Amino acid sequence: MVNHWTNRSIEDYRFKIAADFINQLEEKMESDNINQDKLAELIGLTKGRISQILKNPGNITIGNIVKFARAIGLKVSLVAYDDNDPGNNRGPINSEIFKICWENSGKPHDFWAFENVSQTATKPFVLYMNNMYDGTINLITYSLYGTARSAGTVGVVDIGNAIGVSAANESTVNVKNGEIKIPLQLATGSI
Amino acid sequence: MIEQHLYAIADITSKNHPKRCVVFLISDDRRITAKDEFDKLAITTERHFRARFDAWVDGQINKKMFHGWDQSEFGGNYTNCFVFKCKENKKQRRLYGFLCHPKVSDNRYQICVLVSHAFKNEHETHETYLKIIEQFSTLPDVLEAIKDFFKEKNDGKSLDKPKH
Repeated sequence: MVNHWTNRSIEDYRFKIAADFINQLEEKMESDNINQDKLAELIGLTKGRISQILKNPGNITIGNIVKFARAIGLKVSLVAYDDNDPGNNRGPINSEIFKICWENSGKPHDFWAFENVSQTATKPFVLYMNNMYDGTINLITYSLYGTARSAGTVGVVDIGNAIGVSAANESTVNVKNGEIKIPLQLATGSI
Repeated sequence: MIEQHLYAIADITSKNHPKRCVVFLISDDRRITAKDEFDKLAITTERHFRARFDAWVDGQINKKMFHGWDQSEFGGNYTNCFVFKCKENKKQRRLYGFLCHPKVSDNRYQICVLVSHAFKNEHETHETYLKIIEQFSTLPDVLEAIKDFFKEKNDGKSLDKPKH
């Protein structure tokens, strides 16, 4: 198996997550018609310095991340997560995925939002499955909200409350308040 | 006499990803330059390309980082071609390749086979690059190398060959 390139060094890992952040920033700048000149003006840095950071995001500081995001009306959070890949064989999850999951979850601002989730547990929910890297199912996370994803899609955010998950047989997983079928070829491992 | 070349595949992203993989076509054919040039890139540019490979493998859509060509472009002749893009100072680097589905057991599994590297100055892609990519994408020896690299067991699982 190819070792993910972000395992080579902290600098590589830092570059990857910073590049994902810069991509999000550039998308927003484009949608709001903000060019680098305007960004420089908003932040109070020279255009040259802005350009330098955008070209080589690996050295961006947390302070500048906050400055950049706030200058164009965005917020930023640092998210630590366990995606059942302690060896980092798959690399970090793209920050845009966290953003999409958060948006699809109704953009919760606090933990009270999850209390509301448990009260509406009869809503259809979606089972996110981990990638089948080793041919087995080794993680299942689920959410009471979100966009339906096909089986095998990377599941990264577990925002649901604890709901029992059990395997009835190789092709079906029964989850409290719902039943989700998994294609047989994906359901080869223990759950 | 037609010159014979040897072809092989080298992975750059993990071939165990369930959806996609990026690989290099390697050969003694001088037109195949992607891997040689990639290996010589400055570290920042190399990281930019790797982040783009990851984004494509993860299913992200971003035409500034990578894209293919649809039926409306070049008469629809290059719909299998693909490019990863990266700006390095004032130079626009490009890694051109083609897309294909190498697994019999999973015809949705997609790979991008990177073939050649180029600097690009004009906005529009020079069709010459795409013609070359298209030629390689149908070359039997190339297809055989891809098939061999993504060889599967009878149960549909891919075989991981030891690296040499």
